[in-house]
Order: sequence, then C-alpha cells, then structure tokens
Amino acid sequence: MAVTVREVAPPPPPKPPAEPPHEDRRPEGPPPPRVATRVGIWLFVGAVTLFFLALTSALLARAEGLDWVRIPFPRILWGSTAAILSSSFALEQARRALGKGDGKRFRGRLQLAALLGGGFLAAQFTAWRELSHHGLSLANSPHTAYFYLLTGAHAAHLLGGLAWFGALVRRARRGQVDPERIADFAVYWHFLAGLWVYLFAVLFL
Amino acid sequence: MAAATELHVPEAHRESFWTRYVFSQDHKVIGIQYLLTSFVMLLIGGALAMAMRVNLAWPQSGILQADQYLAAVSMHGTLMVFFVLTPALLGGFANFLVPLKIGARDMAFPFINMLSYWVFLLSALVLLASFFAPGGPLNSGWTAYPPLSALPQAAPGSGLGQSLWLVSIAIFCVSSLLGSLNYITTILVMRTPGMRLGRLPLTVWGIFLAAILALLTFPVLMAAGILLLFDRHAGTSFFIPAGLVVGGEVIRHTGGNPLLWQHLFWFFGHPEVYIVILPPMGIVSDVIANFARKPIFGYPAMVGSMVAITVLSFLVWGHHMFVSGMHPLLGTGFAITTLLIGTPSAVKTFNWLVTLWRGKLYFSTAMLFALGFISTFVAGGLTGIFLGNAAVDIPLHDTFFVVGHFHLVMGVAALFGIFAGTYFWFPKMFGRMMDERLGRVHFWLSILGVYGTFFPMYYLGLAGMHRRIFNYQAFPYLAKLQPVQVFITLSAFLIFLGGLVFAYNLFTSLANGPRADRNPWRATTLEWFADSPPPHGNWHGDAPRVYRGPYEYSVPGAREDYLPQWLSPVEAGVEAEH
Ligand code: HEM
Ligand SMILES: [Cu+2]
Repeated sequence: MAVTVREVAPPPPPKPPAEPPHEDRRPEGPPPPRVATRVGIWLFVGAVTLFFLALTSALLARAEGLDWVRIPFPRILWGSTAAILSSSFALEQARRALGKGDGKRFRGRLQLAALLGGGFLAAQFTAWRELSHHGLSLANSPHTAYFYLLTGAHAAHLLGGLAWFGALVRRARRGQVDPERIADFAVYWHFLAGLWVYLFAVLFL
Repeated sequence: MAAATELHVPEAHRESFWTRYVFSQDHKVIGIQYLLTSFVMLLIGGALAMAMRVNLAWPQSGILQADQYLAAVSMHGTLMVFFVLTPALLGGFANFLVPLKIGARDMAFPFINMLSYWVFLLSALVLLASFFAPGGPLNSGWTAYPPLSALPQAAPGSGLGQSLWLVSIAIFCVSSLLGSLNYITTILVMRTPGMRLGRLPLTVWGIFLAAILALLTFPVLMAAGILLLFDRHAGTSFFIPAGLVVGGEVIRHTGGNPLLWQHLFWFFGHPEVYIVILPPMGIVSDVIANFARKPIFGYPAMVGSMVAITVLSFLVWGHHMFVSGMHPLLGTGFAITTLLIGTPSAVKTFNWLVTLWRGKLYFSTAMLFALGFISTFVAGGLTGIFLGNAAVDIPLHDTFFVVGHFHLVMGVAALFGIFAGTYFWFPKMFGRMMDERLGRVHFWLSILGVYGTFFPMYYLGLAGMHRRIFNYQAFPYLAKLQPVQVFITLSAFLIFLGGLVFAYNLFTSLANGPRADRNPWRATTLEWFADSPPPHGNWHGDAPRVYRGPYEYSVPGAREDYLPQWLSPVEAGVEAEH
C-alpha cells in the first residue's frame, strides 16, 4: 500500500482564532428552544408505546392458548372509558376557550377535565375491587394477570399525568397560563386516552 | 471525581463543590462521571473474566465452585454489556461530545440529564449488592432465560440475586430512557446555525441512531423484566410452563411460555449490540479522518449504512433463537435479514479502508485503537455470516464459537472504540495529554491479548466446547483441549495487564500530563474550538457557527491541511461551500 508514514507528531496548531468579545459570559447561554419540550414528550410517548406494545403482544400470543379463561366483564369499565374520553374532550374545549381569550370558561373546562381524569382512576379502582370480590387475583388465570398488569401500568402512567395536570390547574388558578405548556400536556393526556381504548380492545374484544 | 477539578467557571458563576462536580447539570461533568463509573465496572467485569479463565485453564485450582462460575459468567456479561459499554458510550461520550460537537451550550434538559446518571448509579449499586445476597448473584447468564430465572428454587443464584438483577435492569431502563430522550432532542433542536444534518460529525450520527434504538428497545426489556418479576413474586405464569419438576417438587405454575421471554429479550438484545457499536463506528471515523488527514470516504454512504443498520436491527432478533424451535420459514426470514445487515457493515469497512488509502497516516494511540477496532470488527463480523445461517448455527449455537464471535465483533471492538475515544478526547476533557508511550504499550498488549484469547475460541467451539460450562473435563473429548485453554488464559492476562497500564496512564496523566492546548490534533469539529477543558457553557462569548462539513482535511488550495467547521470562508481564505 502506498502510504506515507509521518514520523513525528503533527506540527503545533496555528494560532487559535482571536477570542470573541467577552460581553456574553452567561454560562448557560440562551435557554433551549420551546420546541424541545414538545419533542421530548413525543419521544417519551414513543417509548411508552413500545412498552405497552411489548406487553400486549405477549397477551395476544397467550390468548391463543388452551388455558385462556375470560373474566367476567366489569361493567364499570364503560364508565371509566366515558370518563377518560370526555376528559380529553374537555381539555380540548379548554384550549379552544383559551384561544378565544375566555379565561373563565378555560379554567372551568380545565378543572372539569382534571376531575374526569380522577374519576377514571376511581372507576378503575372499582373494577379491581369488583374482580377481587369475585375472588379473581393476579395469579388466577392468564386473563386476570394481563388485566391487572395492563390496567395497573396504564393507571400508573395516568397518575403521573394527573400530578402534572394538578400543577397546571394550580397555575391557571393563579392566572399563569402558557398555551404552549397546555399543548405539551395535551399530547400526553390524549395519548393516555387513546392508549386506554387500545388496551380495552385488546383485553375484551 | 476530584479529577475533573480543572474546569474553570467564569467568576460570575462560582458554584459549590457539590453542585459543580457531584450534582452537576453540566453535560461535560455528567459525561465524565459516566465514563469513570464505566471504567470501575470494567475493572470488576474484567476481574471476573480472569477468574473464569483461571478456572477453565486450571480446573484443579478450585478457584471457583460450580455455582460461582455461573454467577461469574452472568455478572461478567451483565457488567460488560449494561454497565461498561452502554454507559461509557450512551452516557460518557454522548454527554461529553454531543453539545460540544453540535455547537450547543448544554443538553436540552440538563436536570433530567443529571437524574439519568444518578439513576444509573443506583442500578449499578443494586446489581453489585447481589454479590452479598444469600446464594450469590444470578446464575442464569446475562440473558436470564426462564425457567432458571423464574423459579427461586432453580439454582443457588435464582433467589434474591436474580431479583436484584431484575430490579437493577429495570432501574437501568429508566436511566437509559432519560438519557436517550436528551440526546435525541438535543441533536434535533439545539444545533448551532449552519450545522445541517449533512454536516454532523459521524460520532454524532452514531450516538443519535443508537439513542433511537435505546429509546425504542429498552422499554421492551423493561416490560419483559416486569413480567418476570410478577412470575417470581406474584404467582403469575407468563413464562413458566406447566409440569416442571424442580428438586423433586412439581411446580404449580401452568401454561406460560419460556420462548416469550426469548422473543422479548432479543427484540431488545440484538439492537443492544448495535447500541454499543454505532457510537464507536462514529468515533473511529472521526479518529481515522484526523490521523489520515483525509476526508471520510463516502460520507453519505457512511450515514446511509448506519441508518440501514438501525432499521434492520429491529428485524433480526430471531437469529438468537434458531435452536429454540421456530417455523422453518420464519427461520429463513431471520437468516435473510441477518445476512442483509452484513451489507451496510461491509460498506462501512470498505469506506474506512479507502479513507486510509494513501493517507498521511500518523499512528497515535487513538489511531492504533481505531485500526484495532476495524480489525476485530472484521475478524468477529465475518463469522457472523456463518452464524446467521440457521443450518450452520444449530451445531455452533452456545459453543465457544459464538463466544469468540461476539467478543471480537462487539465486546472488543466497542471497547477499542471507547479506548480510541478516550485517548483522542482526554485533552479536551481534562486539559492534559495522555502518555503516548504507555498508550502504545496498552495497545500492543491489548491487540496481542484479544487475538490470543478470542481467535482460538473459534477452534474450541468447532471442537465442541460448550459455553457456560464449569466442568468440561467431565467429557474426555473436551478435557483434551486443556492446553488451548491455558494458552487463552495466558493471553487474557495480557489484556488485563494492558488495562492496568491504561488505568495507571489515566491517573498519572490526570495529575501531571503535559498541558493540552485547544486543538492538539489539529482537528476540524466544533469541540476543538472550545478551551481545553471547556468552561461551563462551553464557549466564552458566542457559540461557534458552522460553515462546512466535518472532515475538510487536506483541502486543495487551503492554507492549512485542515479547515475547521467554525472558520468563516474569509478566515479560511477559500470559497464558501454551497
Ligand atoms: C477483556 C477480556 C475478556 C475476557 C477474557 C472475557 C472472557 C469471557 C469468558 C471466559 C466468558 C464465559 C464464556 C462461557 O463460559 O460461556 C465470557 C462471557 C461473556 N462476555 Fe466476556 N470477556 C472479556 C471481555 C468482554 C467484553 C468487553 C464484553 C462486552 C460485551 C464481554 C461480554 C461477555 C458476554 C455478554 C458474555 C456472555 C455471558 C453469558 O453467557 O451470560 N466480555 N467472557
Ligand atoms: Cu443478534
């Protein structure tokens, strides 16, 4: 191979370019652009999606087995489905009101949406109570195992969302409203509603 | 951590020792924390490897009991994959380099970034705690296949040790998520003006794609781990089949499927090997272009092949399961995708070789390790073509042929990438040069050591030597192989010795290496525009702008043999690139 091998270390570098003026010495520099948060949330949603895809593909593989016994359907789940969907809807109404500058309606709808989110959790809790009254526990059958696991994992993600929601509502009460922050949150909140519909379908259809 | 005390912060921004070096949100400090933690883990993982090697060469020595051997195999694999290679690359180098190389002052989410390191450290401590669990650490290998990993009574390490492993890995998944969120967002939205995607250094491309893989596959491992924890502690049967008898007792679980674990694990596990090889592919490209004083040959093909590897790596996981039983048609499908993924790897190798061709080569330690990377990547990668064919894999599966393959192509290659990066960026990290003479000693001990260790393993595997086996002397045809085992163990000690030389070099250079100036390698990318080490915020004054691609070495007509990305066309005295 025709290679030239340099024997010595490269010569010293040329003089570095003149130091720029020093007036801007803020160590952090400008804050990251607004869009960073939105990108971060979408990425987080992507990761959570893969988590649930893994769990539900495990369910679908198992549901073909001979030992798959369906659990009695807890009726209250219709209630939780209604609650989470109307919560999403109320959040959108709140955002529309905010766009129109109607602060009163905005706060009202925002609080309604948060309450409906809490209502969803309460309904899920009731469903778990109902099943365990029937003596159905995690270890009982594959369907109960997946039911508790998937609804529990979804509820955990929703609980985190509710904490975030609570912070937004508190700020809105104090009159600090940033439409971009609400829009950030809406991505996650609607995702959780869509995720629930998907889980509902996988578990019971 | 006192090592990093050279960072000087502008007067206006003095912070306490704790916020500066321990709970720092500065991406550079976090990167160094990750890197040094990985090196500590490398020492532990390496010591376990030496213990295994002594046992294999001189079984009479009684250095390990049977269950201790299995614990050593399992902890060695776990430490090397999860706690050395992954955090050194997608923690250490990703943190230190990404903002500096794209012209950002920090990560998009500095607080989350700090959190990711501390969560990582927690997961490491939980794992190390399993050494003190009754029954010792897990025995089920780094792949933790059930039922061995699902039934606490299955093996000595299947009790608390296995649970701690699962909890540690789950915590690790959280840390990985926090990190990759940051790297991807930062690269997407924080690039300085002029830093188009087509001007990103290949190291940044490698980190970007690896972070996408991590973001999408660690959640799957997390899901699998949670299912397994439920099987162990909540009485479910996701992975445990009916009718198992352990220790004379019938297990009451029914209906689970151990293959499900394998699918979920390898859906993560195969991309994981690309998570640890894509960033070194980038690092090696940066280093080779610099020390050959030539642009990387075929930059678009380099990026394209990395993207192709990233996409394909989601579709090949079944090649780890050829012997687990699958439909022959499915096996053929996985064999085809596996062979396909060899193509972009070959494209990269040829492009590196063409970059070297007729270059003005300067064999710094970083360059030697970069060349070592290419060499072991090829020596290990070629046997992947054998193993990717179901028919050939079936007799070779779980033999030392596989152990030799993955150590060369992934373990050693990635480690060499880390060493190349450390020697290359050490001046930027700490403002001092490493000792090149000791560096060369480290390199030659390593390259002789790894070929002496892992190449004969191909022979052992073909001769039938099984992996994860404590007492191979029980089989006369394997007992005859002991002289090869002795040779391998002696070679492995060379690697370990090289590692000690590296550690010595690292610490003495930190304390009194010669001062490094801003751009000691006369390199082109933006990190070399910052001071060595860069201050908090990376640049005094404005952040640099970018005027050209990352590898403008030996440009005809230019005054110097390199044109840094930050030089404006006027300063550079050349026409602007359009
Ligand atoms: C530096 C010198 C190294 C030596 C001497 C060494 C040696 C060994 C040995 C003897 C085994 C056990 C083989 C068996 O019985 O099945 C093993 C397994 C393994 N090693 Fe290494 N190793 C080294 C470095 C690495 C590195 C850098 C990695 C990073 C990927 C790595 C990853 C693994 C993995 C994943 C396993 C399989 C563990 C399992 O079966 O669960 N090793 N190594
Ligand atoms: Cu693979």
